[in-house]
Amino acid sequence: MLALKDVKVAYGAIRILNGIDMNVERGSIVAVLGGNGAGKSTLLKAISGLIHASSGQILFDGEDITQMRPDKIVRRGLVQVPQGKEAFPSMTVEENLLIGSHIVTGRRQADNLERIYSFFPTLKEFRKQYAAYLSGGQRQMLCIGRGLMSNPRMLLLDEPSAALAPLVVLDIFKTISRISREGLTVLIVEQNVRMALLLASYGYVIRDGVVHLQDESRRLISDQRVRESYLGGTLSDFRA
Amino acid sequence: MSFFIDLLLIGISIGAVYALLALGISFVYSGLDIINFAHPEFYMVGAYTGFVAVISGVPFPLAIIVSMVATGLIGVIVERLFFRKLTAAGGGLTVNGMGIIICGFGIAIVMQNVVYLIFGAAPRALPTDFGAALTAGSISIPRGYLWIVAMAAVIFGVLTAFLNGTRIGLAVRAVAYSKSSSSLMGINVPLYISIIFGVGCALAAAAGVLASSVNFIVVQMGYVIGIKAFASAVVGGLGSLPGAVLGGILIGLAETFGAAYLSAEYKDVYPFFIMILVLLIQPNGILGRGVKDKA
Repeated sequence: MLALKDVKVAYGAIRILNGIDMNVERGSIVAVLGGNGAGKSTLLKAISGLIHASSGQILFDGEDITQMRPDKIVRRGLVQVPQGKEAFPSMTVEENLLIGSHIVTGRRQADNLERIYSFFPTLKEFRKQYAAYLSGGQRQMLCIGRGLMSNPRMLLLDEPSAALAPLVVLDIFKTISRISREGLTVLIVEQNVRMALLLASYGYVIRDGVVHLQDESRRLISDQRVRESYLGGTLSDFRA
Repeated sequence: MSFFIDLLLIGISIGAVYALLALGISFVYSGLDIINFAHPEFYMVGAYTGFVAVISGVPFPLAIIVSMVATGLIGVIVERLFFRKLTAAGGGLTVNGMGIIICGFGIAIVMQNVVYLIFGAAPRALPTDFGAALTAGSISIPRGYLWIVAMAAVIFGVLTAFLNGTRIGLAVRAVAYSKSSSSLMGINVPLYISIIFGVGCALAAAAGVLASSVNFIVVQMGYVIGIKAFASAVVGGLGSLPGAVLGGILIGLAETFGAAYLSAEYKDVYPFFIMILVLLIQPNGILGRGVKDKA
């Protein structure tokens, strides 16, 4: 459903991604892992169109979206839930959800709202609350719900577990799993390696701007090299 | 006593014009993070457009709307032609932000001269007869002033309803908070930059048409009132819409009462005196906050 071919991204002279090749099968959950500064968020920004790849190709459902404007990519059904749980703070929960369905008009917008409320009862309870007053976990739910409001075919999640308590993270991952079973394709960028690999069917580990490892998640989960990618080296590297 | 009430009404009327102008300034600032220094010129263009509408037979209330739409569209064209690269890259305390300010001054000069070429230097007056002044006892207020206050209130109400109750208004608020976040919602950000700028210019135009019901229309009309409008926006809190209205009314009252009870010669000084006073006590303006109020 989503294919990246030798994607390179640079901020001026600083090269972040040095040729990423990636494939996400329709209906699957794919995890993208990597240490800080590996380029995971840059990868998502490039896919979503917030920054433009300097070379390479990004294909969504066969269509070249490499240089496409972000709002057009959303209209194609590819939606990102960005890092940081940043809901619009001066809007209510309901307004946040409605802005998520900006591209949907009329009756369908109300239908989507009811659907999201049935998925996330907490959001329904807080519908008239300003988003700024929600807890971190609730805001993350709101952001995911908001992302779903436009009926996407694929969801990009940028570190949904960040700064959240383990029980809350579990709840969120259960929700993502549930959404996936309804047919949504998911690409999840995560620092929480174990949870991400338990959720996903396939995983990529990014290091130094390229794909360092890729495999089915059940094999990656026990792969020593995954750990090493995060820590930047093995124990033997430190022995004199 | 009746003199006091006369002054109060006039002060509020003048204040309503400043408020509408300040509203446009704060709206564009809140939405795009830029100060449009050509804003007073859109006020002037709005007044001339309204004048043309009225002498073509359009009734005054409709002329306000016609001018708002026409000036709004002119604003969109100006934004697309001259400001586009700058507004899309955001404003604030950046080289871009400074570029936008300088660009605004340039556009202002060009607009004044274009209008001068078309209409000449002679002042114009709206040929509208608003009817006899309303009197109650010894208080007399020209109807033009009442129109100003009423229309300003209506416009503010419509703007608030638009921002809080419509799909496009909601998207404007989203764009005001973060252009990148809103593009991820599927919002066509370049389009909304134009919408926000256009609405700001339309608000300036409304102020221009309303002001022309009691003032002469002349090419330089934007200059002094423009500075007072900026002062009003700052006093109320730059970026705050209710603040703009509050600031405008305050400045209007300060100017009127100052001119009447202190010295008419220094009429134009009182607004800035108030501005300095407010800034000394509350640097963010009365309703402003440290973090910009994003609609």
